[in-house]
Amino acid sequence: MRQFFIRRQQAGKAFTLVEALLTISILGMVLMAMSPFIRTVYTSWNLSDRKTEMQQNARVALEMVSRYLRQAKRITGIPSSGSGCFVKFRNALDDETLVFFHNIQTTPSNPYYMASDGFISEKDLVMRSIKGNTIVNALIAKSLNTFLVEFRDNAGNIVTEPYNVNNMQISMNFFDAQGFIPDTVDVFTAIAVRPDVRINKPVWVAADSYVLELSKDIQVEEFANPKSVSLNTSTNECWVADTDNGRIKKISPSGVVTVDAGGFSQPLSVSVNSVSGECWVADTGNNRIKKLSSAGSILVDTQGQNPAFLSPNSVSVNPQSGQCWLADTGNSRIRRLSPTGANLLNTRGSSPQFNGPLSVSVNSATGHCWLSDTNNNRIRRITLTGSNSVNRTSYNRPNSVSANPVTGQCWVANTNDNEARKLSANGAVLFAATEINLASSAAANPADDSCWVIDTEREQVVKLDSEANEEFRISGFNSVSSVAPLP
Amino acid sequence: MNKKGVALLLAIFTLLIVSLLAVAFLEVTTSDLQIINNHYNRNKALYIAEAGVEFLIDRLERNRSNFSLRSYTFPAGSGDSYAVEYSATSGIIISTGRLASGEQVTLQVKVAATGSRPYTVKILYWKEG
Repeated sequence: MRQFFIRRQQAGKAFTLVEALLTISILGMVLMAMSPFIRTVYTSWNLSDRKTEMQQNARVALEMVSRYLRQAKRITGIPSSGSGCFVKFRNALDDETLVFFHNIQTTPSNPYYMASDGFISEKDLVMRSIKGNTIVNALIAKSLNTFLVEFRDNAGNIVTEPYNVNNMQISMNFFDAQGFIPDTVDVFTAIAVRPDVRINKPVWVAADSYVLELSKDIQVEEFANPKSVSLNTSTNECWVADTDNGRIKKISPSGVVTVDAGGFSQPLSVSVNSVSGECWVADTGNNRIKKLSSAGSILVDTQGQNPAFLSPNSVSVNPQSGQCWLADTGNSRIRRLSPTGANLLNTRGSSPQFNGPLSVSVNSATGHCWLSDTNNNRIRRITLTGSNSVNRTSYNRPNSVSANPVTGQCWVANTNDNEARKLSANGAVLFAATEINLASSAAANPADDSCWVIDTEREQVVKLDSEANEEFRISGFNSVSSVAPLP
Repeated sequence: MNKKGVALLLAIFTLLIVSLLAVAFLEVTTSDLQIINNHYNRNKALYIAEAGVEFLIDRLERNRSNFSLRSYTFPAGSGDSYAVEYSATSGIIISTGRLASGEQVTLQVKVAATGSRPYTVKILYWKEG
């Protein structure tokens, strides 16, 4: 080349116009011939660049979703058909609820749909985290045509209840948000649910401002410090003493408040009769006992009854007889009322007399009543006439008892000794679970002889098996006060 | 007239364009490859860590005592390994899958071994990292 120019210069000649034109036109022709090729190359380069980016986004989304789901402790919500566009689960430590959902109404319908807010729009994949009253929505990925999860058991069959899920198959299809390319990207993965923590029947828990059903993670809001829950085992409805609001509420199995009765003052205890559907209430602040019909109207009110009640803390109805036992805590008495509220028994107890009993629980099979004689540090059981049939010492301010009418045994929250005990029918300690700090609200489940109890200090709900071995704990509550499992 | 030089110029020019495009393509492909490779390595380390958990669960069915930290080559003959330990007090298995290339993933699994031998081992939670 250099030689070419040098020779030209040496010859003392410049390019002629014809030469220059010829060169330019040849160059132009060649370039023109090449241009479609260059354009094709450029377009396909662009295409593959976009697609690579989509694939990366898809991969990141898949990695995030599977990472969270691999660590799920319990699956608590799936579409009713066993496959669809959302999955609700609890995190590894069971202290937070997470939901992955495709933010668009599809079939089966997505109950978590949220309107576009400029940040999260329709067709996006969203993760919602729920911890107590705090709800956060986070964008996981943009622009999905589909987010489909199939839920299966170990045999590979589609399941429709969240607690039966062993495997999840997730597929996602992404499109180009900018609309540059028509191509879509598919990703797919399968995830096994490893933890063996299954809650396959409803369990209701009352905490600081809400009531929560654990098996399907249904949270019902607008309570103020509810202190007691009681389950109607025939209808699966839950009665709640909404203590600081002075109200009694009934919640349907799906979490709808169906009864909301006012006129109470700091009610501390409810006990529903599963045969009649009626509910007894310790209206503690008003020093009265009331009975509500299934629809919430007042059937019995002990106002004016003599002798008067003083700060009754606990009620327990016997569904066989319709009679109600109660701990008349302020008077240190145990009483029993007829279905119409008439006094059948009013006893101070003997050797020694009761002192500040906090909890009663009737064994519906025998009609006898277990009680925590809290200030005497005793657990006792009395007959229909009030005589002692069990009278055991060596407790430390026990605040809750729960009888199992099937076995005749009783679970006790031995509060200040930080343990829960299972007692035989004659009151001997059969098993004890330690490490339950400031144990309260023991709730026996007669169906599997297990017990739920609250670790007040750690704000946890603990499930114990029939030998008081700890099965698992559920955390993340605030001021958790009461638990009731459906047998 | 001598046109040889122009042809050379053209050839070089064309070559330049084509090679530029090729380089761009290569870049996209290699970065994609790198991403896939990271992804692959992470998953590999995760599965090796899972193998460690399975190893300890299998042992727990026969023996519920502590298991102090030990490292095993897995799969046999590879440069990869898992390191596992189990504390009977906390009931937690910690397993780290480690690749020869340095990538590692740690699993924390809480278990309960109940009943009599062979014990029934239940997984209570499963945490990564």
